[in-house]
Amino acid sequence: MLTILFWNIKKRPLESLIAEIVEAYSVDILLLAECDIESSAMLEELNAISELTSFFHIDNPSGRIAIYHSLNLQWIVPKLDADGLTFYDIDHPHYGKLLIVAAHLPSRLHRTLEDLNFNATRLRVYIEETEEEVGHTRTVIIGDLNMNPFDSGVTSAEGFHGVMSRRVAERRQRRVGGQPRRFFYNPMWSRLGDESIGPPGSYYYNNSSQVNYFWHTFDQVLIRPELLPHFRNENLRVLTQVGTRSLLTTNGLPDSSVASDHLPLLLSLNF
Amino acid sequence: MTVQSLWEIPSKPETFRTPTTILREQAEILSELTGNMLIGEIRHEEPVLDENLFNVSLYIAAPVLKQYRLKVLEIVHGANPYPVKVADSLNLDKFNEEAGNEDEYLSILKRILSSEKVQRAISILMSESSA
Repeated sequence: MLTILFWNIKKRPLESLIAEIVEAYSVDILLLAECDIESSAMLEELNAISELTSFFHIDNPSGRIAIYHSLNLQWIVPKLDADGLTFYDIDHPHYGKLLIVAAHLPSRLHRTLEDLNFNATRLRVYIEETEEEVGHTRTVIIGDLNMNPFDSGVTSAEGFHGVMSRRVAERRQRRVGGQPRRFFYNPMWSRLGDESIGPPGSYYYNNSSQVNYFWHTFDQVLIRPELLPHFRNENLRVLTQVGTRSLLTTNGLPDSSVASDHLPLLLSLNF
Repeated sequence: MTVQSLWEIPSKPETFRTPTTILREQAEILSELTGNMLIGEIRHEEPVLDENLFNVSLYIAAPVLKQYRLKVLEIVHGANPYPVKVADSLNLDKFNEEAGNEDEYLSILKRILSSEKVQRAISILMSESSA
């Protein structure tokens, strides 16, 4: 099983808490956005977990995502860093070839939703070009998209083309305007609102606008159909608890005094 | 009857550098300065909002690191070279800047290319390329 943890930690010094999650869920790849933790401090915590597992840090030139992993260094190769997406080409002896795309798209403070929606067109091109370069489409996107699963940048065929239904995604692609457009399955649709598994979203933001969702699911996982045989819905979790510590306030909102205003996202793929 | 020339050919043709030409020059300078350890690459990108706009990006490629590429900045302009918008790809949480002429454009490019973030990125890539 390959387990990936993504967390936007809002520049908080959460290395001990992160190491606890990594230990509790046997995380193989750790992706942190808005991370100011020194890599030496993070590695010290991670490598204290077990004598049997060594964690490594890949110094990301864009600085947008911090990545730590316990894979053999030969198995994971950074490919591209562009516009908030960081691509890692993985060639694992047991799990096969994977393309992991870590995302931390621009903040809504500096870009309108329209900007992000339109820019997703460009990001789709980067994904398709990199898939062509590595020669497969076993791709997972995980990270903070700063858009919700229902925003057009995430849903549209010109953008990420993330659909809510596994069955639809399994059709692999559809033609739109004469062009073939591959699907992603977006399981985060099942993580919206009170009746979903886990909290109503991954991030809470209250404002005085007419339209206010309060909870947002900016932190998302998008999976290409080729990897769906390895994905079970229960293996995707928005974490609200680490050991006995809650990441939520008594009102059920992300507690930024304990951790971050985003909740961690945990994905496991079974091979 | 002699035919009169109506042309006025300038003795010294004006050399005009487009924003893309300037970016290409900087790409070549990076390759030279790093002894081709890092390569400056210019790519014409898919237009995002308007098919009539030119979108051109500058990347740093590291041939030794299995062709890893880092996007540094992107310029966008219309049929006229100026005004040109410049997006700093290592500072995504920042508003784009606009240059009305070549001098302003050079000044924005200089600020981005000599920024701490770009220096850090080059330093990481050179160190890993020579490891």
